[in-house]
Amino acid sequence: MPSTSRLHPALAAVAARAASAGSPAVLFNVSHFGVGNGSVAPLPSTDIAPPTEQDHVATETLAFHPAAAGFQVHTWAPETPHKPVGGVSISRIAVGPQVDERNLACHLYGGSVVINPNFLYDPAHSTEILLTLGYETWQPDYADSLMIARVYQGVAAAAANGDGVPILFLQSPVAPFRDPPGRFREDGSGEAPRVANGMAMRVLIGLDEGHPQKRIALLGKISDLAQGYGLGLQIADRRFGRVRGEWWSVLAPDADRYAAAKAELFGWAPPGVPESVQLLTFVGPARVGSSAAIAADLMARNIGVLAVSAATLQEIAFINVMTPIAPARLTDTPTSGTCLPIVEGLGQVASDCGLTRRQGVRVRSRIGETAATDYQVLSTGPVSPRIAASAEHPLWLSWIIPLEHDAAKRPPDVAQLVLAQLCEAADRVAGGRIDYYRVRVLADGRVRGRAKVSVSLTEGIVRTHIPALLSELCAWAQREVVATLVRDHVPLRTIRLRLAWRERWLGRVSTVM
Amino acid sequence: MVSNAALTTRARSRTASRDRLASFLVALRQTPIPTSPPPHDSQQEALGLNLLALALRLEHIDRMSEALTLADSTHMARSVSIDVNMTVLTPEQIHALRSDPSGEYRPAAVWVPVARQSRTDLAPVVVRNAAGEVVPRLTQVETAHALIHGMSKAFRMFLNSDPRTEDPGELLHDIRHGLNRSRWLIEATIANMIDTGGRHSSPVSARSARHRATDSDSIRDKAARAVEDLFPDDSPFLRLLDIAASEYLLVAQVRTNKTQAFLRYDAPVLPARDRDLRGRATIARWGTFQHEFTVRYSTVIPRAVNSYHVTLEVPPEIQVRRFFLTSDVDAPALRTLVNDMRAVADSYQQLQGVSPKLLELELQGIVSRLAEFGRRRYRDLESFMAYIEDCYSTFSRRRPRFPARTEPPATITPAESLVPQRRIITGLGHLSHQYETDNLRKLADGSLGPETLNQWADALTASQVYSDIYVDNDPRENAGHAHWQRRPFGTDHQSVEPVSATVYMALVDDPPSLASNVSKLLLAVLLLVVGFGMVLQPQLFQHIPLLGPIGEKVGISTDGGPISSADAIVTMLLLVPGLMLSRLDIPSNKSVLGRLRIFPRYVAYTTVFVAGGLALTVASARSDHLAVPFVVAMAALLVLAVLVLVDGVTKAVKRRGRVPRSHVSPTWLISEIKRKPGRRKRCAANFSTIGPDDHA
Repeated sequence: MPSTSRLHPALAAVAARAASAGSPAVLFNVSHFGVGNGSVAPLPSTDIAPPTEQDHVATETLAFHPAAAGFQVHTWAPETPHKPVGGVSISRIAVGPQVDERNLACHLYGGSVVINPNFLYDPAHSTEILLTLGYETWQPDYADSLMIARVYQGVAAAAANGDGVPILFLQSPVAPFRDPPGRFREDGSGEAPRVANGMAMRVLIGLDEGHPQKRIALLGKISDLAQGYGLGLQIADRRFGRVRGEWWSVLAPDADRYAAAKAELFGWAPPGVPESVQLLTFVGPARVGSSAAIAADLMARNIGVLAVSAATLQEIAFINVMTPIAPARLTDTPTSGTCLPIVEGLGQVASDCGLTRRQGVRVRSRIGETAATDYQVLSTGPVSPRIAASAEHPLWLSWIIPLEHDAAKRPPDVAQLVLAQLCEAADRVAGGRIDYYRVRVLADGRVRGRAKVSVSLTEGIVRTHIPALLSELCAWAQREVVATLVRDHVPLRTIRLRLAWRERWLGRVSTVM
Repeated sequence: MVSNAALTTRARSRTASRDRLASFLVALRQTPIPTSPPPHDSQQEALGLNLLALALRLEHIDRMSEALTLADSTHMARSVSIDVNMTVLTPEQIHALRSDPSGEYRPAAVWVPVARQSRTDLAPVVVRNAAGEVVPRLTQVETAHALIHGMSKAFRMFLNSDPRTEDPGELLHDIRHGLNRSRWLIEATIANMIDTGGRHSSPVSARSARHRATDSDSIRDKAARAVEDLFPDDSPFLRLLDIAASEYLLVAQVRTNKTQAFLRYDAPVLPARDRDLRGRATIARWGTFQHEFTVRYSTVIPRAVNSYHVTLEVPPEIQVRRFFLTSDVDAPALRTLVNDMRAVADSYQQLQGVSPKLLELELQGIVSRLAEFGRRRYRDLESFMAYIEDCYSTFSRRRPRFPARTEPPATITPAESLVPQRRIITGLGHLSHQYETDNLRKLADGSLGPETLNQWADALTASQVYSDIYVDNDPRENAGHAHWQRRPFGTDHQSVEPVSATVYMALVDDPPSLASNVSKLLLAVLLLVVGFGMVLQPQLFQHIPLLGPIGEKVGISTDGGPISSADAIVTMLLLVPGLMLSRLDIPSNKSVLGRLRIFPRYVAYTTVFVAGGLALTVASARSDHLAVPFVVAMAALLVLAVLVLVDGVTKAVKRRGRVPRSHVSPTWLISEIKRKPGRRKRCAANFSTIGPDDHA
């Protein structure tokens, strides 16, 4: 547990927020994007208005679009003590499918969760870990998806060990990082251009500063895991004054060992890149150990994980997983969605996505006795992902602007503006999309957001010229977007915006003047 | 030794946690069991919880200024001014805090907590705004009412969110669904604790032997078990309840039409600590002479406050010799660093076994933070030395000698800089220099081993490296002002723990003072007595140069009979000291000035007493019997003169003190300036707005 002195003010704040709202429950919308049967739908735009309540603003928004499919989560506190799901229910979690008429490629779920006041971790007291399976562009096959599931399980189990520490954020695929070679390093401020999405996993683990031995034990376990599977390991630089995005390399990835481990563990897995996936969201009150329980169950049923994004929004855990459907179970059925309690939901997922037929080795699931016992599973499938080896570069975006409550007067979403601006530079940018998007409405009425925009550059650019080109592009797009916001009547002095191709350059965001 | 202290602190906090649960269970046993549900009021719940959340963090307070006045030597009056930033409050908070419950969504005025006070401070407080108008306050009864609703709501949140409440076999399931009276009892206990201040004790501990479901013991047992299930010892809920029960919130009404508000209130007069008051009427108190009256004032600055000012103004007769403020703003950062050092030292081999790079990362993290501490504290040391130089310049041309400045700069190798030095801040300064010049790139090669890490951890804790210093910057002699600014530790997220700040002030009666006037009186009486002695008893001065010949010339022979001019001599001996004494400004015993002037007062009284005694002897004795009284009187006056001289020398030495050996001065400061740290002294008067437990 974190030191007690920090907990009681946090509890008072959480309880006050819940009491000020109409209900102790937090409302949420989960959107699953994607269409099946090999067709590809355009990615939805990001916005902070929840799909079911367009006149509201979500307190927290998360979007994760790893392929042509993805997830969006909005959470907000209700003004009246109602729940969006009909019927007489006193259960703490209620969820049901909703109809989204605007986007046919979207499966929408709405619900509410009563928050867990025991979960009082602060993302500021945390450590970040980057596990690299490989530096190449993300193109996992079935065995890789099982390896990702195994790594996810290993990390979650290490975090849940003993008293346990919570996983505040976990995502894969992400941009892998390697220490820059001399030609890119310059005076230390330079970096080699990175791949937008690689076989890597980024984990933010909440920690108690009062018990550093927990951190050391955890890092030891994760190092062992990385060494065992030949993964690269980088840890957020703990030196004074270092910011997010500065990594300390502990282990370099060992491709041979990874291949050997993959062959040894999952040599039986079907070959090839998955054609069809299911989108799953596990939702429930945030609790230490829930992620580990879910990961262990997925692994026990040989369910692979192509992409995963686990995050805590307003003390509610959302674990979004993209699982490959077993080749033997591929069907032409249209995409559909279900909401089930975790035991039944995982059973259903296992029958669709379990990559093995060895029924005999499976033990009875004990998920009902773990920290995830009351979670719900929202599942959409089959969906066709677009897993293509295209060279994309990540651009990190960070912004703070004042919140406009009136939807009619609200300026367009900043991340969308940046994307549109980047795409205007057609001579340099061939395409782009918003990979990751996280926005929070701050207590003081400002909107703070962070996003990762993946851009693919036009062909024929020499690799050593890419940094200069990206620098130019970022400065230009940043300036133009600020100008657009000012034209939309956002006062210039209130805009803080930074677009950078080196993540650590966002570390200290200053007012644009 | 240090780790023992750390262990004791940890053990004390564990005991406090257990006590909170135990006192809740005691209160539960003594609260009447309700027979109907307690009232629920969502507006009061939101108000109570928002008041509590805001009062704990006081994030809406941007600046805080305190003006201190010593009412007398054992009482301090405080006038507190705060700048409230209304933009920090969210629309939901503003709605929840509205002062008119039936008002619209955006109310014109809201209740805002401005301070937390101990329940022992019961004096009425009047809050005024920038225009000097009295601002309405929420009564303590209303605040308690809102807090009761809020804490009951928080309890229900804990109960409703627990997954065990959905398992029919669990007690918590029954408490939530069926055992209503046990649940109501817990809520009633919360109300009882907030109402009565959480103090409960029972004369009876016997329990009934019956175990029917409707028996009170059975209901209480279930409620007690449910509380134990829901709240572990260190539960933040119990801590919150403890604060709600033991403190009063000062809640004022603030209008929402402006983004900033200024409020001022006179806080209840603070009595000095019990120990300082205890000796108030004893003889020992009047037997202790003080050359300087030292005061320690401890308070709490909310961590969100960016700027804190503390001022002191004393009567013009008193000078403020030393005035500085120390705070533990870096305590969370140092605690984290020390914990990290001990943990890395414990698992040094394990980390090295896993990966030397992992060990290197940990060590680099530690050394980079050590270097930052070095930079910060060295800056503080420099500012303190400059302050003492300023103090010296008022009475001397000589500059104070500081080891950090007088000793030649030693060349320290990178390896030496990694070992804690006796003068820890100078050592940290060297380390910081080595780190900045890239000489400490490789640490995992054994240059910073586990023993050194433990040594650092012990040395950092023992020398209070977390304490910063802000010195007086008021140019007036009878006033002091220190300005504290928040310095976040790098990019670390700021902790929500409040900062405890301590002000040290040394007040003196410097020349022209009562002591100098008394020495004039003493000199006058001595001259008078010597003069009369030479006239009446010239033989006493026979062997004294200068005085002997004069005595022979002016001496009169009385032949052993009564002195003819005795009346005149007596009048002179009584009148001159009496007139001079009446012109001295001898203040009340209870004031600070009175405490500072005890010694000169005694000297003045003794001088007059000696003169009076001699006058009595001259009036009644024969002239040949006056030799002994004159010798005694002159000896007594000379002794007094020597004492006055010693007093003057002591004052001059104390004026040149480079660092006060007080409990307030951080240990690192004393060890940087003094060669031998010596014994630390307690201040003459100690005031604190913090609870008595937290006081050193």
